[in-house]
Formats: sequence, C-alpha cells, structure tokens
Amino acid sequence: MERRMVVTSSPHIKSGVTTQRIMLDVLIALTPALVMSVVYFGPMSLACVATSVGSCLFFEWGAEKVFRRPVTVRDLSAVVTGVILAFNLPVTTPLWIFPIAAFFAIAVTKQLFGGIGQNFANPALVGRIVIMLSFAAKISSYPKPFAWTGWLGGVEAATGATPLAAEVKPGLLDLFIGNHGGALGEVCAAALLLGGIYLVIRRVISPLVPVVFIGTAALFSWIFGADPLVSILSGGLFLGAIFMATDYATTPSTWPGKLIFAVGCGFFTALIRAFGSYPEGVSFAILLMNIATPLIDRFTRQKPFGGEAK
Amino acid sequence: MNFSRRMRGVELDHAKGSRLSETLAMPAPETVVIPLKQHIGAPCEPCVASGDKVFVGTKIGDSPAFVSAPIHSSVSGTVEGFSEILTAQNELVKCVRIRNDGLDEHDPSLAPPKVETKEDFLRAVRSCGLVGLGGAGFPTHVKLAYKDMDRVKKLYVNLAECEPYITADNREVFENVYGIIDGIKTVLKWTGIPEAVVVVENNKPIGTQILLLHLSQIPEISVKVIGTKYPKGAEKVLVYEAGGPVIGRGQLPADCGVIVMNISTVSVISHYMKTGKPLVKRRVTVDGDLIAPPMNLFVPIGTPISNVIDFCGIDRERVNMVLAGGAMMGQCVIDLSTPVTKTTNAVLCFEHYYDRDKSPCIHCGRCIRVCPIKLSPAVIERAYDMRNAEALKAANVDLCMNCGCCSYVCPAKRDLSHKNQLAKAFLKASQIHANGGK
Repeated sequence: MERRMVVTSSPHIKSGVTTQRIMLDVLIALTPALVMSVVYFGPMSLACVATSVGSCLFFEWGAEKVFRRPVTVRDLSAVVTGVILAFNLPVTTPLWIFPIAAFFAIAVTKQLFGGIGQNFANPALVGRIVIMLSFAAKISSYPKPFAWTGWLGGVEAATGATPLAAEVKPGLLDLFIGNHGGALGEVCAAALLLGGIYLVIRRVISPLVPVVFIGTAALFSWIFGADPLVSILSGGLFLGAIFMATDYATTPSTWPGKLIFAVGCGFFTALIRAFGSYPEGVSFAILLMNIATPLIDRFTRQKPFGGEAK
Repeated sequence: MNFSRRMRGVELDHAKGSRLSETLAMPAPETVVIPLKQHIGAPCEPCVASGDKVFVGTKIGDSPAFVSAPIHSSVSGTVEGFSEILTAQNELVKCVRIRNDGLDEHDPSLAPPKVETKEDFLRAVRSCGLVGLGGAGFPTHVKLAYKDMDRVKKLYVNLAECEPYITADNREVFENVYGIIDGIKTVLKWTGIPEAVVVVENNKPIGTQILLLHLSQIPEISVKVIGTKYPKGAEKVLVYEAGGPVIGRGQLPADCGVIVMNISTVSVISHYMKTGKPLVKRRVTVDGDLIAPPMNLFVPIGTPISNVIDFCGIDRERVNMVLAGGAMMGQCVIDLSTPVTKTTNAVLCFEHYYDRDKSPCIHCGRCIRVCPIKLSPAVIERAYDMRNAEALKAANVDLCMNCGCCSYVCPAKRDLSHKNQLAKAFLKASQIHANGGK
C-alpha cells in the first residue's frame, strides 16, 4: 500500500498574519498610552483596565458558552475591546461600571450579532456610549493629571472638566504629551501616535483613515471657528482615529470606502463638538459612520479588472 | 515607470534555491505511465496495443478533435497495457503503461518537419505534441491557429515565473537561450506577428542580462522587466503590466491583439523544427523542505513521482505532502505513483506543511484589497455559503483565476480561493439549470 499523502486545496503557503497576531499588535500599540495613563492618573488606571479586560473576557466566554459557539477568547479581540473601553472612561469611574459597559460591548454589540467580525458597531464605543448616557453623573468629572496621592482612589480630591469643556484651554505641548484632564487613555496624543505608527509599520492599519479623520476634523473645526490644533489634540480624537475608526468589522473594506468613512468621521466630530449638546463628538461620529458602513460598502464596490470585453 | 499599470498581488518569499542548479537528465524508470490527456481539450485515444514495440518519440495517442494534442512515448520498450489513474489535475485519465527496454532508441521515422507554409508550421507544432508548459497545458497549435492573426500585433513570451520555488523557465534561459531566440523567430516568421516581447520579473537579473546580451542585434524581440509580485505570470496580469491591453471577460488574448506563450514552450518549437523529436521530457524543479540542495531535472514524461523522489535522494517515509506545480497554484498528489506530465513544472515535497485551523472572518478586507482582478472574496464566500447565485454573478466570481492571493493573506486562514472555485462551479451549474439544461 502506497503511503497516503496529505491533500489540501491551493495555495499551500500562507502569510504569517493571524487574527491573534493582529490583536497582539494592537495591544502592543496601546501599551505606551497605558503607561502614560499610569504616570498621569496613578495605579488606579491599571485597576480600571484590568477590571474592564477581565469583564470583557468573561462576557466573551460566557456568551459563547450560552450560544454554544466555539470559545474564541484566545484570539485576544476581547482583550483589545477591554483596553479601549477602559481608555474611554475617566480613572474616577467606579469599578462596578466596567462590567456593565463590558456587557453591552461584548455580549450585546458583538456576540448577539454573531461574534467577531459580525458586529455592526465598535463594541468599546457602544459600551462607552451606554455608560455616558446612563451614568452621566458617575463619569462627568475628569481628574487632572498628577492629582493622585494614594495608591487607590486618592484622585477624587481634584477633578475638572476635559479641555473641550474647560474655560481655559491647556497649552499645545501639554495637550500633546497629555498633561490635561480627560479619559484615562485618551489624554496623551504622543503615546497614541507612537502606537499608531507601530500599527502602520506592522501593516495592521493603513495611515489613510487616521490621517484623513484627523485632517477633516481639523479643517471643519477651523471652519466652525475653533483652533484646529487645540481641537484635534483634545478629547478622544487620536484614540478614536487610530484605534476605533480602524476597526476591521465596522469600517469599509475598499480604499474609496475608507476615505468616505474617514471624512464622515472627521466632519461629524467637528459638527457635534461645535453645535451639539455634548462637548465630545468622536464617539457619536464613529458610531454614525459604523452604521453607514454597509451602505458605503455597497456604493464603493470595486469594478473588476477586465470585467467587460471592450 | 508607469505606476498606474501596477496591479495588486502579494509579495512572497521566492525560495528559488534551485535557480543555480544545472539541469540533470534523469534516467527513465523501468516503467512509465503516460496519461492520454495532458492538455486542455479532448483526451487522446491510444494508437498502440498491448505488446507493441515502441521507441522514444513514437506516437501512442491522438485525437481527431481540433483542441487536443498527440501523446508520444518517452522511452523505447514494450506496451504493457492500459490503466486509469488519477492525474495531478484530479482527472481520471486513461494511461499507457510502457516497459522500458533501457536502449533509449529513437523512432527511426522521426525527421525534421518540412515547413513551407503556415499550415505546415501548425501541423508541425501539433505533431510535436506541444502544449503550454507553464502549467495550463493549452495546445499550442490551437493558440497559433487563431483565425484573425492579422490583428495580433505582439507576442508576449512569459518569463515571469512568479510562483515560489520554481526555476524551470529561468533555467531555460541559462541553458538554452539560442533555442529560445530561434523559437521566437520561428513563431514570428510563420504567424506573421511583427514583434515579440520577453516579459521577465525583476528578480531574475542574470537571466535578463543573458537575454539582453543575445537580443541586442535582434530588433523584433525586446525584453520588458516588470516588478516582482505574485501573480505577475498570470496571462491577463502579465499582458497589462507589460503595457498591453486589458483582456476582458471571455476574451482570448488574441482577441485583444496579443498572444502569450511560455518561454519553455517557445524553445521546444525550435528543438522540434531542428530534430523532429516530439515533446517527451520536460524540465522539472524539485524542491521542498526535504531536499538540499534543490534540483532541476529533465524528467521523461510518464515517470512516476516516486521515482523522481528516489532519484533526488528524498526519504519517502518522511514525505507528507507532494505538490505537482508551485506552492500557490500547484495540486496535491494523492499518491506517489502519479506520473509527471507535460504541465508538471515542479515537484515539491514537504515534511512540514501548512496546517492551521481556520477562524471566523474578521472583515479586515485584506482579500478584497489584494485581489489582482479586484474581486471581493469575503463577499463571494458569504454568497456561496447561502448558495445565492444572483449575488455570485453580481460579484463576478467567474473572473477568478484561482491565484490564491486571498487565501494567502487571510489572517483567519479561510480557504477563500477554494470557495471561489466552488462558487464558480455552482454558478455555472445554476445558470445551466436556469437555461433548461443547456
């Protein structure tokens, strides 16, 4: 009897890129901002991130058990969601809020719609918006950097508004390095930029969306009468543009589609900031464009090469 | 450089370790098993019987059909019988089994063909048994018999060899550049095509230099160097990148005024015109993780792959996967007795092969942005899973050329190109069904 050979369909070689490796790269890219959040807001920010990640992993595992799907916690996507979710909330957020946010992020937004790749909106974003709308009082005050005194909880003494709502804006350098109040991961634009550059080098994301998003936001902020540099460095714009508007499942796949998406995000961010009742517009802008993604995909379907005979 | 002509694709590790291995002639095995269909078109019927004495080059199979190519014996010996086997292309094909007498006698009737007209030329190409040696196996005489040859302005000679591992065509330039040039001239002379362009990827600098050196005095043949990116060797991609027209759906290159031929195919024409010896052996790259150094061999057609493996000193017990052809588009053989055919440009043997579980699609869009034809494999996969013929038609799945770029880049390791082929077959079947079985 001849030895049996392994038979598979072509191609017989594949790239080293895996879902897990992509998620690991995103986590690596988020690390500088995490370090800076500990510097600015103290060890409590680590506790927030840990609680958020733990809750996300639990709901991912739990929902997959309930829906009898294969458990995919090893792909690290829930960890990424957990970190970004925590980054979107201030360090003064009570820890019991995180499981609630994680439930809406993972169980509702992601798993109810079919798990990884099937969610219609960015899970972390939905988690944040639910908390923002339901527990506004709990997360309305943003601590100032270096206001932490003890290991845990010492920050509550001194809080203030985010630069977007503040009367006196911080200087540009302070905005860039993160020396101002805000959610725990969004303050340090420099650290987020560093992570973004890493993701571009690793080819996890293309610079198109972040650059166009931030550029459009600056342009429209200027048109609406704000200082464009201050407005792009304030609030969650860098976090949103680099880590949320580049999410795979909820953004268009083609280059023209990505361009439309990024322009839309930038425009709505500036519009909400200038005329909306909330000081921050990044989350709503991305969420709006997430929902528009299937439509954009439909209108930007690529024309095949050599489709019709001439 | 014209950037607008750069098409999408993937950058691969070339692994062309065999490019400096001079081709060795492999001795014919004791028995050869020659499939009667090694081409696109009608299978041949045997024209020998059990017990017949045959020589190297004796015709053993032919077909009255136009789209077909005759088959010749690669050894001298006795016809033992006939059997049906599964070829590397996964077709059940009738084969002639010939016992080699070891004398290597050529058929005494073989003589250089007398070519005075275009018809003579096409007849000669047919009787050579020549098919596209790049892998597709389209009968060459059919390609050159295009009805409206006056419209064809350019002959593109394909030396892209974009598959990893394979260096068979590159070696042809190293070892037989005069044959190539003579072959191109012969084709130009009898078809009336005014000019030829050898298209080569820029990862073959030595081969390019050899060609440039020999072509400097020949104005009708030029060399065009294109960037290295898989799948540059695909006909449509090659023609477009070299500055030619876009070949549309259902069109032959000739309909657009160009003809594409593989470089090894061209030089076989020259060889046949001079000697009258038909195509009975071919150059095969042998590579993989079990062979050091990788080799190039002249293998008699019909040699079982097991003999090739033994000749190269590969430990049969350690071989887990064998590919006939390249790593991107080659076919897995089911057992080692599968013979080498006219289209086998490589035999790749692996102990360690790619095997990783697939996971859900994360909609990263890599497959969509990498497809040279600009299809959307992720969309096609969903449409096929729902057996939605309408959506598949709208997604233009029929244009897929199975290059495998989508599967290669997929981080979830989904078999997208495989699904595309299933979807193509499904769409075809459902259209036939919709037309009342026509």
